[in-house]
Amino acid sequence: MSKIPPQKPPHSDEWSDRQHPITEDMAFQRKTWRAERIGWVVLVVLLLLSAAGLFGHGLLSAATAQDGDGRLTVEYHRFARNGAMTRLTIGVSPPVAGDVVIRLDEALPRNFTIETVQPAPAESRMQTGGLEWLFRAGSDAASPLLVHVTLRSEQTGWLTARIGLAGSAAPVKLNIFIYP
Amino acid sequence: MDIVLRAAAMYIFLLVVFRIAGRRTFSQMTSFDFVLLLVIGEATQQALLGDDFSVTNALIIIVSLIAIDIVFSLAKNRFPKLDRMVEGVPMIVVENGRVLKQRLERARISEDDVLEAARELWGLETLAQVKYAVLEANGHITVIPKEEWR
Repeated sequence: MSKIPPQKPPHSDEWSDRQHPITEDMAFQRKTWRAERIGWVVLVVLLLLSAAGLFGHGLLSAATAQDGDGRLTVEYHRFARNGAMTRLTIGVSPPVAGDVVIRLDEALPRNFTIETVQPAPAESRMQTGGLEWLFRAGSDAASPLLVHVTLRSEQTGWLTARIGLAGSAAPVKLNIFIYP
Repeated sequence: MDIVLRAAAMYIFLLVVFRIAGRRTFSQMTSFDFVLLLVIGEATQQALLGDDFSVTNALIIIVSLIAIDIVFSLAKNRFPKLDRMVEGVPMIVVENGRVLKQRLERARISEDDVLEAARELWGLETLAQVKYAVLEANGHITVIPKEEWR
């Protein structure tokens, strides 16, 4: 911040209004300057907040959620932007054997275009209130299953999405805000 | 509807940000200011167009921007207070050869800027030859020389 010069030294007539050759309004002018300075502070605060991740991709935005059984963990961004990509990682803790079925409620497909899912599910099917992805676990049952999903947001506003394992009573709840 | 709102949001946002930046910022444009302006335009364009590159979209955006601009100019004529808020007010910075230093400082302009304007407009050499120098609402400095230097 630049320093603001002393307000009104007693000998100074600089802040009085002149009438010639123009009609001045110094009171208004000084108000403008004050508003300008406040505006600079607001700009700096906005910059710091966006660096911190309030508008996505940062500390404030990174979130991790776990389901009731503690088997499913989702890392995601709390803040997304309309039209931009966001990622989430679904992790299923070991032992992972046989078929693993992950259920998404309709909030994700409705608000996002799901661009990529890695590894690709062996099967993707409709299910009441959302969709189901079926993954075939590899031979190594001891390592966790990690699914990386890239999403492109289509809507704006708050949304709550649920992701869970088939049969899980308490799926993971994701709270996401999409900026316009 | 979405497009019109986008255009309105960008218009008002740019208005506010440029007002905060102060009238000096783009008044005497340097070549760097010009480049900066282009880059800002580029960033704005993305937000305005989104991923819709159709002619219709462009037409709607242009019409919305121009319409907002017209409404604004009408409102400014109607409400002088709004005009002053958006455009600012003029201010004398040199009076009978005397520099009003505190004003210059607060307005973030230097004596050199005033001298430059005096040279450019009237071929003056010192501020003592200046009767009035005015920082106009649009950010330009205008100079009225003393009688003997006109």
